[in-house]
Amino acid sequence: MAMGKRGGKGAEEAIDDAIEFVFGELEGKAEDVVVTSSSGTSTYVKVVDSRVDSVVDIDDSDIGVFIAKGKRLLFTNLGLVGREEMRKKLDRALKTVELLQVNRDYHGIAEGPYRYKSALNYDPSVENGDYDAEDIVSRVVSTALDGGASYVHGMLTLYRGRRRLMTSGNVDATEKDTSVSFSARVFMDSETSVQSNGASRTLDGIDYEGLGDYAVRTAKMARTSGMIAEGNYDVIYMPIAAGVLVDRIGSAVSMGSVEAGFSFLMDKLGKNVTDTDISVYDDASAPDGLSSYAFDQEGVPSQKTTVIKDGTLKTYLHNTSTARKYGTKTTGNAGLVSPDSTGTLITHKNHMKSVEELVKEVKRGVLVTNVWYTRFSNYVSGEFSTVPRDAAFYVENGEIRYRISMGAKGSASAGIRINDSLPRMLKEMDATGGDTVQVYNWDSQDYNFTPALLVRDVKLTSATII
Amino acid sequence: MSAKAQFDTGLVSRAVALALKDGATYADSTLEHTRMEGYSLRDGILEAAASGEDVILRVRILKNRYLYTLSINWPTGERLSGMLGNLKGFREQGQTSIDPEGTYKSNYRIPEKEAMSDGALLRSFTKEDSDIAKVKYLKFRYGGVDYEKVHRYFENSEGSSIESSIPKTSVFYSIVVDAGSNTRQYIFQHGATGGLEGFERSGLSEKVKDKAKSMKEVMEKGVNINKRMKNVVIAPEITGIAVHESIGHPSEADRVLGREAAQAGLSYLTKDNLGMRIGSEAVTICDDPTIKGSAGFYLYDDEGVKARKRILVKDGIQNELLQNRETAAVFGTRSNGSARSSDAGKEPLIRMANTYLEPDRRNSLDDLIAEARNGVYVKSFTEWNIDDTRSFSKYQGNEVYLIENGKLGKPVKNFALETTTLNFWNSVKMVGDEFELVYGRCGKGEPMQDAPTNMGGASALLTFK
Repeated sequence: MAMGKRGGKGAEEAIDDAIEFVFGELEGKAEDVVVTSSSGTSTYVKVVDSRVDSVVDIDDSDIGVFIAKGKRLLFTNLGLVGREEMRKKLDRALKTVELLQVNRDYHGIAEGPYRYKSALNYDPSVENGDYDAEDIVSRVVSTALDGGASYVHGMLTLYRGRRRLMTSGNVDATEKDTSVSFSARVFMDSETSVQSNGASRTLDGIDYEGLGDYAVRTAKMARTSGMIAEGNYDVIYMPIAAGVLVDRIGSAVSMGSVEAGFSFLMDKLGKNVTDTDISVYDDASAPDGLSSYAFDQEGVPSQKTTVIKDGTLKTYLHNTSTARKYGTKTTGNAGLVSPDSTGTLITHKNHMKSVEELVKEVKRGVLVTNVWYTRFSNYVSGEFSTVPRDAAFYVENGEIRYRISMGAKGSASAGIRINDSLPRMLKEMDATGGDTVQVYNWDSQDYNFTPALLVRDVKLTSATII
Repeated sequence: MSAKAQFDTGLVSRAVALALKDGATYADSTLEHTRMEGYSLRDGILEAAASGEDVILRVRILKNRYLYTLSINWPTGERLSGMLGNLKGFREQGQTSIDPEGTYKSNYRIPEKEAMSDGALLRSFTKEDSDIAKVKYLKFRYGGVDYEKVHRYFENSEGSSIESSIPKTSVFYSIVVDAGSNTRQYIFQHGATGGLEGFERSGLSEKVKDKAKSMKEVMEKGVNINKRMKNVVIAPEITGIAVHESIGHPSEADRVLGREAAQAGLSYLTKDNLGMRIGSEAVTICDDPTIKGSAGFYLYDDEGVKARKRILVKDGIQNELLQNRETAAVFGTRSNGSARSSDAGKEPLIRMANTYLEPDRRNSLDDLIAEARNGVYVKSFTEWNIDDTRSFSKYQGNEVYLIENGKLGKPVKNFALETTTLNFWNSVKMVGDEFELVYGRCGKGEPMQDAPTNMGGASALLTFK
């Protein structure tokens, strides 16, 4: 089964004609104009009980418009309507923008033109529907079942799309995207599960058999289960779990988050914010990154930005407007109003080759394979709690002892809760281990890059004792 | 062609006919036009305004027992043909059935008591924001307000045709209260069906100012407690998140069947334990989409099933799951109209609408506090979470007060209610007479679908053993 290419060249030409018409209509009528055309198709193949269950296919196209006039800002969309209707909508938008209040914090968009050196991976097979979804699903599921799993649930997602950007800052740029991701939740039995996710911009970029194999190997790290007492433990976050927290660190670096009161990194520029062995990057240019792009929403080429170097916060993430406000340069993270983080990568100088070596560093701890419901009580202080979703293991004297189960019959939940704050966590992160991989998670649907993380002395609580 | 012209209900009939011609055993189609506007204010500055519209055509096709959900926006006859012609089905037989339903013809429109005239929503929002700005100890103010009007037309191969027009407003507002050495954050949310009156009913500035004052008091005068509390009185805000997370979600039949296992998770309920005792006899929990003005309001669901009140837990006993037509076929029951999609581009999933703990008219909040004698009263919460099967949950208190000798006492800084679902609901000793619904946006599915819901009901006294 495959969902083939929609529309083809004729549809591309039609949407190109439309964006050029809209840009022509707006040229000279406002200080800043950004027009974006987008067309894309997402296909979701759902796997339930080791079988393909259903398919959802979403085709979405639009023309988006941003107008800045006298520091008054308006976003609108036009859709795929006729020229006269577009003219009416644009007239209405130009009248509406005059009525808005001034945003004195707005300082314009980037001035191009730019040369784009982007080399993002791309797969014509995804664009053309030249794949067999059943075969892909079977490769993941069969490996897991052959390894002893009882059943697998999951989702295969494929995307192909095209985006063109025209701005009053002399930008006219086009890029095409493809992506593939597979999320598999593998159950050995009703009380043992492991999540295994893969993501790439190409079909061949995912080791499908490896997804099933990882889940089964991880589930088998312990044959028995047991309880732990509430208290403080060292925690090893496997990459899928770590990705959720790395994503929140990336969000906090955005100047938009800082200004809105959603960042623990407020007023920390130039200061030490993590263990001095840690560096954090925002990388929108990673060739296989699903969050990567050739150019941001105002046409600035994507880049890899060092945001934390050896523990010191070097920069926030900016678009042109926030960069001008704070007397710095854009980091290529527009967001026309608020900069967005993209593809956060965390590194630690004390990096160990494998997770097994990381485990050896732990006297009394917990290895967490996945988390969800990560919730902040205060984004400014960075305090949060999060819940291990799949298998979590008790570690003692450098060895995995047993899978944690606090006693809900028929449930794969460990029954424990992690209570921490991002500033403390980043100070107490002692090491990383294993491969750095692109991760995403149902709890945090952005794509980031991380190895496994070892954080010391984390408070764990349990609901089973009251 | 205009958006109005593209709201061509003939496309819906054609989509269903084409699907049947191509071998579908069931088909339905929905055409949706959405008009929206929204504004965000940061520390009193209008960041930007947004306005727009979208037209989406969705077709659901049951063929060879596989369910395919296909959608396009800005539909035309040509794009519809391209979409359906593009579908290449699976080789083997699937396992999905759709339970038969009655045929419904309906056309309902929710009136806007106060029409959304140009700029009215922004003016109201700005006025409320200016009022909040008078509070001197706020470090940050950030918020957004949205209005959308959704016009839908639905047909299916069983002859139903349902048209609806529902306007909605929602508001989000975050404050950071500064008490010198530390801060507290509060996020207000409200959503309603209707026009401008929905936003005005939110009481945004009064509620945010009240919370700011309470939080400052907690930071300055609050005490720390380092023991588990035997008696806990919870306000409707806590009842709401608890009924939503630990009763509503596990009552979704698709979770019970494992269909959401890799996404929104599983349930402690299984086919084998339905009818189990979940709570004390004081606990009756319902979900009702037909509450006028509510955030989760609708009269027919996205599969063309007439909406009705669902009693999820009756006198402490699990009573009814939330069902759509696919799960109803598996359970051998009928759909109770629970299928919703966040927009017509996505597949309808089983969703809560407005979930609440039924009040007990005999007991006031004061009665609950007096009965507790010593314990805590939890008025609001900040963070919360729950495990995959909805067996263990935590609600971190925001406004919490000691109960001493049957009276409210000092504020508490650090109380968290962390317990199991069964312990929580079986510990309900008394239910109060208050009835308040609070707003929450609920996430489910992949792609993530964000659904407006209300949750709440009565206060309750929990006495733990």
